[in-house]
Amino acid sequence: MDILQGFETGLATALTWHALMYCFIGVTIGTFVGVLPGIGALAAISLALPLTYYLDPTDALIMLAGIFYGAQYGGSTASILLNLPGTATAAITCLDGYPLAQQGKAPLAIFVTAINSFVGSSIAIVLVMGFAPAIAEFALEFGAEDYFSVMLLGLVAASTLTIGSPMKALSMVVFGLLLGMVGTDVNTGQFRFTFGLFELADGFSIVAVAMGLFGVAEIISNIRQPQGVIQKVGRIRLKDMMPKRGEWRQIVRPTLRGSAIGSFVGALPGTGPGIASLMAYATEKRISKTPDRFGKGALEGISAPEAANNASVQSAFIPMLSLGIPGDAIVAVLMGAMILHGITPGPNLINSEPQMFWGLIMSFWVGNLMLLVLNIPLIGLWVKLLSVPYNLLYPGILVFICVGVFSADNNVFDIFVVLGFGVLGYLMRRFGFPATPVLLGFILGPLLEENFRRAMLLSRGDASVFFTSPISAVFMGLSLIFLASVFLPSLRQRLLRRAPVEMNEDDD
Amino acid sequence: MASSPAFSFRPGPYLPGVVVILTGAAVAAGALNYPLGSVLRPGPGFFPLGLSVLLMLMGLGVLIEARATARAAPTDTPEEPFHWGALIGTVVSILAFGLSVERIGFIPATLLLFAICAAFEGGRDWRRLALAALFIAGLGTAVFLWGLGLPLSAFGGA
Repeated sequence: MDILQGFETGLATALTWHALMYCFIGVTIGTFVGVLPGIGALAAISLALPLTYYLDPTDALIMLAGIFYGAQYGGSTASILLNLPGTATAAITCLDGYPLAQQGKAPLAIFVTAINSFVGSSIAIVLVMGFAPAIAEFALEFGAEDYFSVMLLGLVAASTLTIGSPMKALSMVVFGLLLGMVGTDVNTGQFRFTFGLFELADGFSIVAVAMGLFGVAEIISNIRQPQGVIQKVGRIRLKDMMPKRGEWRQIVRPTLRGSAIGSFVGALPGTGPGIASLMAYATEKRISKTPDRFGKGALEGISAPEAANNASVQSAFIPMLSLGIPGDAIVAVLMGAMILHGITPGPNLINSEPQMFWGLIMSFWVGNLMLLVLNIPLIGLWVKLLSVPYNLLYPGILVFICVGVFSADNNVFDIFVVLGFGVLGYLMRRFGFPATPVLLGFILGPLLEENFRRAMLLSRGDASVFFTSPISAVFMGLSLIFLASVFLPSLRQRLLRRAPVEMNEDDD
Repeated sequence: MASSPAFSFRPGPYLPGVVVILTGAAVAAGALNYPLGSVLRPGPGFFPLGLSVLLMLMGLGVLIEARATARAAPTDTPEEPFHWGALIGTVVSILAFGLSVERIGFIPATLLLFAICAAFEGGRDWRRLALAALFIAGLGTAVFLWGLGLPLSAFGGA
């Protein structure tokens, strides 16, 4: 199926009334949780996941993906008005967004970020349409050993490209893989690490793990955080929002550069929108003729990172849809959602489920258009929402988390699982262990093991197959380079540029 | 300030690494209970055992890293306080909700969760809190009990 045909199939799917409705619900929830600091898209997606069991898988995915990119739009609003990022990925937008709000230019800043987000997303969607089918076609020839190696590469990249300690991230990947082992072994039916609990026979529920590590842990660490002071916005008139001629000129190039950086970084496994926006900001500052304007309300300082984080969110779908490898925690949950709906993401997806693949991509366009329209007139509402104090908000979120995990399996047991992972997640955060690798390992663990066993069986127990199959050898080589970078700090510096240490790499 | 009082929670820099190693060891002990199989046909114990060994090695790496950091910057950097109140409050409230929701119903369990959070928070604004609790209870009932038909009752045992 060529792209034009795909375009048609996709539009036919994305423009049905139910797809439009779920897309709308998705992007609205996404903007909502994006605006609110303290709940990220990940918690929202995990919450909505059980609700989608009753939906057609395509509609379900359209809605969940809508939450994901919708949150990127909303995230910048809190950054600009509160100096508190609504999502971790919008942290960099605070640097110049908040000064703009202090100068009374909040409407302009919000309008500009909405435009940037739209452009960034659009460019990346085009890339998804071009690259995902091509990569998938190439990947159709993969054997079990190649799959094993490409997944390994994804995991290694995800943990070595983080900002904190790579050792801690690597140990969390392994821990996540082990969590994925819990339950019934598919090959032999053996119960592993179930501690005699019947509830664990199917393993941990992905919803419970994700909501614990991200939702509950996030709440615990946010409860005592001081709240920001909202900048007064007053009545918002369209006149204040529209950039003037010179301002348009100021943002065009940064937006395009940001989109390019974001698309590239997002497609790499393990590098979320946080790193993308960071790199875009650093680039703008470096090439600017007046770098001292940055941090004092430079429009370039919000344009590039906002374009980059939205672009990276869209291009993160490339490895997931073409190879079945999630690049970050949220995509991992989306992949989990597909698996729960009985669809295995991978190179076969485009051929076996063309209607889902193209429908999802077309819904990205639809959703981004909705977001553009939704964001601009609703700024007033978001401002009101931001003034709700956190201590009224978080018990409500806890209730929804509890009843959300309950609904996944109608079992109270999962509430205790969520609690356990919440405490674990808080402790991990506190000691600098990233949570994203745990989730990636958890999702990929069973697939990694299965392909390992199959490869061993097919090679008659010869482990050298991972290095003699050419495709696998390339991936193995890349993994080794990433691993070497851990031990050669100068190489690592070059990979990561100069990243501020205080950034939290769990982009949710 | 580096000489910490006896009661404040100040784990040494090596605790995280030790915990990772111990976790790996525990998993390894568990994995040995399952058939290892052969290289040709790896059994259910093979992969977990390999991973647990890897985890122990990583823990060692974390330890070495901690040692390097401690050497490079021997002065104790001011640490973010450990939020005991927030941690315990959240744990108790979720625990209470999980244990009670099937016995006393969704709405009372929700109110209970709010009350426990508020008690740990020390918030004074009970009226707004009650309103928020009732709002969430109502919304949850509409979405989850009526909309999705979860096997929970609004009031009383399921």
